[in-house]
Amino acid sequence: MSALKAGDSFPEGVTFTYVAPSGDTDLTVCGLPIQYDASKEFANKKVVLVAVPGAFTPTCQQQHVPSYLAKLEEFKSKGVDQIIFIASNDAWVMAAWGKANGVKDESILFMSDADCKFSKTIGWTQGDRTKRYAIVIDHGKVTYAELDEVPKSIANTGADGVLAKL
Amino acid sequence: MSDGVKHINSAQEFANLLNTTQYVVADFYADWCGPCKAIAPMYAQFAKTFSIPNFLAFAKINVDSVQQVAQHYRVSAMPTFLFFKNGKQVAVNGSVMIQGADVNSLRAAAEKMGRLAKEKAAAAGSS
Repeated sequence: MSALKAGDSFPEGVTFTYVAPSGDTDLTVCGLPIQYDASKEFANKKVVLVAVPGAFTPTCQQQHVPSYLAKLEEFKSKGVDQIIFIASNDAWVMAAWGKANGVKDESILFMSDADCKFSKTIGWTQGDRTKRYAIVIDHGKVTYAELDEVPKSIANTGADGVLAKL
Repeated sequence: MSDGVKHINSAQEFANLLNTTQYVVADFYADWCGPCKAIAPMYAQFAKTFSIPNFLAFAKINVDSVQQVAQHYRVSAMPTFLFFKNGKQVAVNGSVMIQGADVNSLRAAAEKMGRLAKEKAAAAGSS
């Protein structure tokens, strides 16, 4: 396992699972997790990948996701094609978290790094949860990869911290 | 006289159905999906009313048992209803799929497919 840093290529074979947003049809639809081939998708996009210890947990819910929701336009203006939040929670929990935050479209996707499979390869896990980190991948190349290890802090991984480095 | 719902148990079965039936409606569902159970009786009713052997069939595909087919069509929510003409996916009433237990849209699609299949069957019968 090796940590990622700016300048590295994003590893091959990384996949996540997620339930695609289906707009407003929440009550009459059951989501089915599908695989997201991250390595393939990141090859031709500019993506901000944010990992949080847990969906619905205090810092993640009260600060982390809201910080990105507030700055969606700014991310777009800096050429970011996709913002993805991952956690060790399963795809359904992540989908529900997205809905709980009022996200009905693909502006922010919520995906599962089941069993911390990807996070383990870069050594950024704590117990069976992921650490809090943010990675910016620009067409396959990592341009930013930082952790927030101070409890409750999103200085490096919150929207402002990441925007400053884009 | 018309058939009921066609339960599909493999990718091959689905391929066969698409090859032998001009119009096909496919219901992608799961056993644990509430909305799927809710709309099942209506789907069965449409199948009974509108099916015409070789011209219109209503298929049911369990996404857990026949994952290959569900994945091939990128089914991400259930129930999802897809439409096929001569083996190719098509749009009905402007929609290429119905996602969710939307009875009204499904009824309109079933009626439309039923009408088209009936015309084709009649034309074939008189040639």
